[in-house]
Amino acid sequence: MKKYLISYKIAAVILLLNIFSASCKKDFLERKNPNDITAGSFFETPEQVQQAVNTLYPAMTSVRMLFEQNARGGDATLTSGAFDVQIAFFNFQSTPESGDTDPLWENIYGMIYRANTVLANMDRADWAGEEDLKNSLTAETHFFRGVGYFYLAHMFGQVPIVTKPAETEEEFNPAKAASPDEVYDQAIADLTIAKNGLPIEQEDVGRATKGAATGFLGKTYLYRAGYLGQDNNKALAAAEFKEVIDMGIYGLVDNYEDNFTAVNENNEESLFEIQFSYNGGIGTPQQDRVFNSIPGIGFEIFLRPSEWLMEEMGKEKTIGNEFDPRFLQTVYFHGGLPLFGVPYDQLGDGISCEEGTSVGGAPDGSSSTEGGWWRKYLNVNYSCEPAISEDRGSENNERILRYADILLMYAESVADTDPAAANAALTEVRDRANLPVQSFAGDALMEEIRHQRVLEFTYENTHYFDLIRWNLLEQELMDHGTDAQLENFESVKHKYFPIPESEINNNTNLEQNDPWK
Amino acid sequence: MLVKNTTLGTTTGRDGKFRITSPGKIDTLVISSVGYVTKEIVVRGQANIDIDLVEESKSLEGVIIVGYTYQRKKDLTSAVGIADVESMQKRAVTDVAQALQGNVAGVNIAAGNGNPGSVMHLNIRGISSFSGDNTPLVIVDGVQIEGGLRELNGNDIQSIQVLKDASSAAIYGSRAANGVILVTTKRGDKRSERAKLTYQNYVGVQEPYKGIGLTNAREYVQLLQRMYGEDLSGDPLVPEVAKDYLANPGNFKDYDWQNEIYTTAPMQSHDISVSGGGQSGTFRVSAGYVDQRGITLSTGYKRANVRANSQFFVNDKITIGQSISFSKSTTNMEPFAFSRSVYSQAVKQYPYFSPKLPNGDWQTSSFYYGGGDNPEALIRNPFHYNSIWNGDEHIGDLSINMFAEAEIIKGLTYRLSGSYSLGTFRRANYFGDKGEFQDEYFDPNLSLEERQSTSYNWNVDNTVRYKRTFGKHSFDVTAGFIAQQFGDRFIVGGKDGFLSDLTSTLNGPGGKNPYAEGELQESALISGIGQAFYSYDERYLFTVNFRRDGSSRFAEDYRWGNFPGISVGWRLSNEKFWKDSKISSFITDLKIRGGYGVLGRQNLGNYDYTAVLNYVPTEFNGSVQDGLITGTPINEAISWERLISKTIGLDYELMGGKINGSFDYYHNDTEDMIIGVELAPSVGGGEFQSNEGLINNKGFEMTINYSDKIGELNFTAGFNLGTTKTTLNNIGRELVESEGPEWDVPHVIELHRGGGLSEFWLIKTNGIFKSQEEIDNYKNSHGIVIQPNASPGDIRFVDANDDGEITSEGDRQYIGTGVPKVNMGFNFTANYKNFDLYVGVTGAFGQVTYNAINYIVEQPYGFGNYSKRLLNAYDPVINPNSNFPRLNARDVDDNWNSRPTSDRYIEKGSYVKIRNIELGYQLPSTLLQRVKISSVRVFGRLQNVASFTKYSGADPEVGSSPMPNDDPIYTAGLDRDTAPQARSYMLGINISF
Repeated sequence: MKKYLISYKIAAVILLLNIFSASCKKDFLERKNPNDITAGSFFETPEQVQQAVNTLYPAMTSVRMLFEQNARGGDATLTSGAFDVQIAFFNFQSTPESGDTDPLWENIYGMIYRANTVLANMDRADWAGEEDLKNSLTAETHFFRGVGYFYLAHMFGQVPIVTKPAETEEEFNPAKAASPDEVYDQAIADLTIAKNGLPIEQEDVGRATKGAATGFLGKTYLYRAGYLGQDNNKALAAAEFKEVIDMGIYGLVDNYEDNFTAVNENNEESLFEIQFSYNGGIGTPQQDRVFNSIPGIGFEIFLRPSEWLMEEMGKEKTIGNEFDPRFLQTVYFHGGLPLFGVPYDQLGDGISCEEGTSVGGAPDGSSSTEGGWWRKYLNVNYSCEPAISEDRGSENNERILRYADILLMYAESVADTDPAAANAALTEVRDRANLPVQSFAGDALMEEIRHQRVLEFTYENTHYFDLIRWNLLEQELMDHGTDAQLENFESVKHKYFPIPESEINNNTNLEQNDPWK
Repeated sequence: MLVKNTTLGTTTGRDGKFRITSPGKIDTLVISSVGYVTKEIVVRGQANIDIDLVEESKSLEGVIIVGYTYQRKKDLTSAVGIADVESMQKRAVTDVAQALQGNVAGVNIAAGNGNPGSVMHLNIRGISSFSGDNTPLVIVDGVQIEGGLRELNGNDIQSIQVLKDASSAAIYGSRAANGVILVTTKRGDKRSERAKLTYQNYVGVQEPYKGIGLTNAREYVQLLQRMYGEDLSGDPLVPEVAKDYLANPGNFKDYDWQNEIYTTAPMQSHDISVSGGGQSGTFRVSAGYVDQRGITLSTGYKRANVRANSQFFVNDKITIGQSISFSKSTTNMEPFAFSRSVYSQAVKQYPYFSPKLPNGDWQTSSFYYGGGDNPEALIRNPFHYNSIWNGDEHIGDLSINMFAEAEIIKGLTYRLSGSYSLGTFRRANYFGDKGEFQDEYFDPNLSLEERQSTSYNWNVDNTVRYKRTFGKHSFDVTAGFIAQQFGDRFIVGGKDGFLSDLTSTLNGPGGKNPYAEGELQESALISGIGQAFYSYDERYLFTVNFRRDGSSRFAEDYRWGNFPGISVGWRLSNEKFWKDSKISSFITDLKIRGGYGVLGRQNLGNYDYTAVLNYVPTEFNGSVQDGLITGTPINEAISWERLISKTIGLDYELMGGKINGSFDYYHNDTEDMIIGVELAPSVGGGEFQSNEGLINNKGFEMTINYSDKIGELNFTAGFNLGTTKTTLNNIGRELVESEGPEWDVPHVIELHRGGGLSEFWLIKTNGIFKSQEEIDNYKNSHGIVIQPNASPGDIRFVDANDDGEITSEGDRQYIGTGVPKVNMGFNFTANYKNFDLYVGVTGAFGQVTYNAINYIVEQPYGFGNYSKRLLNAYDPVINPNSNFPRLNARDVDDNWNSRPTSDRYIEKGSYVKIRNIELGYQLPSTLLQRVKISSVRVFGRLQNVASFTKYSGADPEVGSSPMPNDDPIYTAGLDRDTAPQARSYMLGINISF
């Protein structure tokens, strides 16, 4: 009897163990990620390729760094609220370790990586009957890669050229291009494909167009001429700009302000702009120029218009003897336009909202009349709520390329060879600003072109790079730079930004540029 | 049960009955049982014998729970530390981890923060993995409780064992690589005659922290005058208010802001428990409540616990048991404004800035007080911020464990146990109306965000154990099968722009811009385990264990790992030659042991081995289109990390137990460590998980306990010490810096390949220049003047790379590490008649600490309040003998004496803290008999009594810095925003019925 009891017990145990081991199926250890879509099958239909190409647009968003692109160049000066790292950057004191310009490199290459991924996988999809779409998407992708290499060429110089997703150890550690020329060549090749494949107009407003690609191609040639001292590129640049002009679809908008507010986006002056919108917080890109602030509105204020800039902008008055409208729209100053109804001398501590109306901190007009604040891209419709949407972003598109730039660059590229055409383009720009008709020749022509560029494009991430390609940065610092800037500036070193540590530490085939070592 | 000097033996049944036949007429019977003192009885032919065994006290005879079984410490071959629970319970702390400090060698515990309810950082034998958690596995009665040690009621604890090496912890699998803390809660007693009721409480106050020397209003303005001229006209940004003060000092009062933000705070704890048992079962039920307000503005913690343990003896073969526990706590968080602690905000506050306006409202900062035209220069009133912000955390924990044990045949037991733990977390972050000029606060106006998460884990354990003794051979074999699942689901959502600040739920009127996010994380483990103890004659001891684990975190082909371990011991003191020698009367017990084992870790995300698409929607004027793209490359072949642990040790007992202790030396290598290898941005960036990393930890542990008696005075002194040296042999890259708010203390800690954790790499300083000549002569080896912009009174920096310039990247050197090299604990207990005394001391040595508060208040620029030390600044005329750098409003542009990246703010961080002194008195039983109370003890306690340290900051115990990322790997020793621990005075009473 005991024996049976014992064997019963043993049997029971074995049975229990079996039950438990059987109930733990293999599936128990298979867990799928419930939060994401797995990459199992992608790039298989044209629709999926389209979705992939769409991701290139938000990638462009992060290729703008307000402070780093606008702080140097003389048109801006630091405020007392600037951080130590920013002061160091402004003074040309920063080191590769500070990492100020790293995000530019990282984000541009991020964009290039996406473009390479699309191009490498495009052929996997079934394009039967949709050849046109395939060509169009290919051209679109090349546009972004071309623009990417254009930025890299003039911001960083001699960089690795990566044209496909890495697979081997060697590919994960790409070496630098043999020369800066090669980088420009790559940009030119990509933009040419883009220009040839893109339509003149796109159904989805905001997509890259033939005009955008042509404009960037011209810009690439012109920058190459300046940065590498290859003047023959000017003619090539001129040809591209002429093509844009001859398309006949672009023009200057009457109201200069329309280029910087959400009221009249994607207007006839715009060749390419990044589309921003709140969209319920779904994750579409948003305007992040939150640093454009004035006292009382906004967050950090690091830069203000410089004395030199305000002088420069106030030099020439319009036909009606008023300040240049571009001056009035770019800077908030005493004698300029009121902002939300508050004149500059009533600013005081800042603009605030009282019962739905904006008021300044010194309504008696006792506020200082010196200096000014940035007005361009202020990204608020009015200071009282609900002006600024979620996350302090706004819906104001960022203009990347506009027709005024094409005209002035065209003028620049033909200034030596065809002064008449140069003057014609220049006059169009001056006309929009209501300036008296005037003709320029010789050195005065280039001087005026440079002057107009300052008036048009201040605070649009351009002036610093213009000075470098004109070889005038050092002169400019000597004329109206600060002592600290002069002390630290070195023309060879500061021609390009340093390579980020994140690249040098993780790429065995790349070393920091010599001037920055 | 053994007949001495023969191979005859047997074991008793569960009922305690036994039967043994021996040919001899006179024999000695040796009776031993785990948990009881071995007894020898001489038998002279009696037919029946009744034997009573006495329960064992602490010492090598004590019982240890190891894995799914229990052993005597005598027989252990692996490194297990036993916590002194009695002295732990004399620490009036809300977090059991705090009580564990200094209690077990090799268990390194540091507070992240002194605020009530804040996280304690624990590691055992050093931090041995780079990504993922380094917290030891905490198991309470077999359940891996979600709430962790913080949610436990310390009074419920019966014993704590710490399993420190592979051979002891192997049975617990992954995460056991960080060590295991096994907690057993109190049970009822089978032999009780009646139920025992106990009530304990203590109440006390915590003292505000004293503060550092800051200037008062007059001194502050004097410093401004030294920099900006008598009339303060030297800079247009000098605040208006300072000029008004000069004109009319009488109009302003002086405020000591350090005083303002700290108050005395009460704390109390109540605990009641009932326990008992009988032949059919045992039970214990307890309930506890603890409430600790914090000395820092608006901090506090309170918690309620309930626990019920019971065991039922169905017959002499089957036992069923369960434990259920429930806890609920609320932590009032410190109001960090703009990523700064209340303290960092307070020390910069102007001495004449009143917290309140005459009408009773909190004063907000304004341009009148601020430094000119930029809101960033304003200093915020932490009281105002506190009045518009609220962020409490509510945590709940419910844990259940049930088991059934059945003896199948003699010596063979089957055990089935299942446990489930459910934790809930809720945090509501509310932000009210910012008011004028407060736009710089991060949160949107009138906003509410609610985060709710539920995490759970369950496990089912099936084990079979066979225990048998044949003569001198003793076996104890366990085998089993375990399944576990873990999950975490959270939802967070919010809105802003509510109509009024009375809103407390998302349904409040006026809320706009709604957003919601949520995620589910799950993982599972299946394991087969085996463990075997063998001992021969209680002299030669062997343990072998093996574990095979499969994890859902790895792809199918890489899913399984095998983890073996072995340890051996030699009980020298049981050898004949030892017993015969004279030394055996002095060294009464000596055991040498050594172990080697491999444990696995799965330190990566739950789903990392599968590639996912990134969702990137795009706007085209008027419509949103979907964007999807593959991400950066991932590694599908990622697999288990291995911790290879080696220990050798020695356990000894001298003079019959008067002195006992142990020594251990350990050497642990984490191989195949999962590290994220960064890809270069030019190939897309991102991180590639790879089994490439390598960390080594080694060190030494020592424990000594001494107990003695002098007349009526009994005392015990226990001392333990542990060292850890961590070497990061391969962490995927040469250099790692942590991320976090940089605007106060940028980049001072680095991790280097081949170095240790939390290392400070800073530019060395070497006094100040006293003359222009000194400056001109300070050249590098090529004759370049190193600091041409310096003036007398500026700091001389060391040009480490000899390039003639002082730069952050070229001139940093290794200064020290923020992680202590040696941790020590000392516990002293004494009894004299009815009095008892307990003193607890802990210490940490070898670390340096970065005093970030000094960095904040010693900057001469900006207009915040200054340290008194600036009054002694060098001045060529009035103070030429000082070694404190000169005042210079343009410091940043000139020599930047106050740069955060120099070793100016580094101080030695070693400390000894007297944590507790407790004096208790047991009321005489004669008094109590009349009221039918069985015992009453009253006591007084002092907590955080004193610190002995060279560190000049508030509290030398800086386990991590809460603001950057609260991760000790990156921020140990960085004293930025670490709230100090308060001294407290308590009175309490224990009553037993």
